[in-house]
Parts: sequence; C-alpha cells; structure tokens
Amino acid sequence: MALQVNILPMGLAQRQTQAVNADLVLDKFDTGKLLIVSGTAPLTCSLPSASAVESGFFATVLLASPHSHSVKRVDDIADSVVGNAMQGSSSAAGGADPLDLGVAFGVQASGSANVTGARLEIYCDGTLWYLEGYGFQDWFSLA
Amino acid sequence: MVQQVNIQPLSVTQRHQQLVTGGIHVVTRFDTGKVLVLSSSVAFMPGTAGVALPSASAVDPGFFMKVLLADGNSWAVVRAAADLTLVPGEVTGNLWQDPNFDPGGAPMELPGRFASIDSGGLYSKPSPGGALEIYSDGVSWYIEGLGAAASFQWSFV
Repeated sequence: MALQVNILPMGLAQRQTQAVNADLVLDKFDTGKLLIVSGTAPLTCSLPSASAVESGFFATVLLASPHSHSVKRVDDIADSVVGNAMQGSSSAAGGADPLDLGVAFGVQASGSANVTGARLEIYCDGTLWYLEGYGFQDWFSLA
Repeated sequence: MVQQVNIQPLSVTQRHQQLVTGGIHVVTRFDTGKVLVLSSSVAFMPGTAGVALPSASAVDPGFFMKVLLADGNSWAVVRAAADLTLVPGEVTGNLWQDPNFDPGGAPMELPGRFASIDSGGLYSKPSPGGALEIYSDGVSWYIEGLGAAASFQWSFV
C-alpha cells in the first residue's frame, strides 16, 4: 500500500521566548528570541562584538517592568550601534523626533512606570548592530 | 491512505541577509524573509543604487522584507521607475522621522507619493540605521519606515 504524505509548510513558527530577570550578554544562540525584560531593578541587555554573532541575527526586546533597562554594546567593544527610536510626536523635551542613535552605545529606557510595553528590534549584519525602538514620548535616551 | 505531516521549525533562526553594494536590486518573490543591507564603501550618484519594487502582484501574499541603511550614501530605498511595473497607487504606509522636515513634513505619508509611475521615489540621506519594513498581500505594498531627522526624502537629493 502506497503511503501518500502531504507536507504542509506552516510558515514561521512562534518565536522562542525568554524571560530576562538578570543582566544578559547576548550571544549567537539568542537569534530569533523574544526577550522579555522584567525584574525589580534596571537590567542591561549587552550586545557583544558584531563578529561574535552571525549575519542575520535578530531579536526583539520587550520591556515588561518600569525600570531604566538598557540595550547597549558591551562597554569595551568598539563596534558601532546605529538606529533610531520612535517615541511619540508631541513631547516638548526631546520626544518630538525619533531619537537618532548615530554611532552610539545603545539606548536606555526612562524608568518611568509607562515604559512597560516599549519594544526594541535588534539586528546584526556581522559588522553593525541596528536598533529600532518604539515607545511613547521620552521613553528612550542614549545609554 | 493519506497521512498529513505538518513540518514546523522549532524556532525562527537568523534571517537571510543580502548585501547590496551597488546597482538597483529589483525585488522578486524569492526575496521574502530577507534583510537587505544597503552598504557601499564608495560614494555614488544619488539614487543610482538601491531597491526597486515590482508590482505587488509579482510577489505572493505574505511577502515580507526588511531594508537597512548602513552608510551615508543617498540610496534609492524604494524606487518607482518607468521601466518597472510598480502600479501607481499600490503603495501605502508611513515614515517616521523629523517633523520639521520639508517637503512633506513627517511622519511622511507614502500613498500620495506613489500616485504616478513617474513621480520619483524614496531616497535616503546620510543616516546609518534607517530601517524599512516592507510587506505585501499580493495586491498592495505596505511600507513602514523609521529614520532620524530628514533621513528620507522624496525624489532625488
């Protein structure tokens, strides 16, 4: 009896989720993860050298507790981080424009109660780190 | 007997990256899921290199792609050119950038800007880190952009 097999591609599966309750240095095995930063104190997700991960690395950081969490490069690494953070359009104190990270260290959340829900998309091409931040006004500053 | 097998990856791993260092990369259906990194070690004439979209009907529903700007060149980040098949009016979306940018102000609303086939295209200005998310349902293109002040501009610099 012949066995007929229908292979049904399901597209992208759900993403692997990881609760972050302590400082974390990302590595290449974190690609694809949804990192949910909570905890009761400010935490830092550090980006290693871009060459330490493979091109195509990506991750999403969601801020789930109201603290001054940071996403920034490891301090003694010179690799560039570029990107922007969108944070509202009516704030007077720097929140009116997207925050240009330029060649910077990364971003830090304001620590106010309402940063919960802010999102940072991380991408690495093997040379540069790219950050895209989305939050309400004045949520992000340069780390 | 028919046995149905659902093949599901355990997790999403790194994305397929393609480096664009020059020339116009015309998007095809096989680019879905990719990240296009626009990066050149040399300066070039504004708008002569970058990314162009075909008609949305040329890709499959569910198409998605990211475009990242890695340097300060003036890239064509989405070009609508007469020699391509992009249908006027089938692009929608918005760009978030400096509200003081002129013309168009910001956020820049895209639909009206792709109203005619010869209406130019979307170009970057020196702004490493600018990003565009591009989706298609096979009928329209949806573009979501994020950049620093005046990092995107309509038509040539």
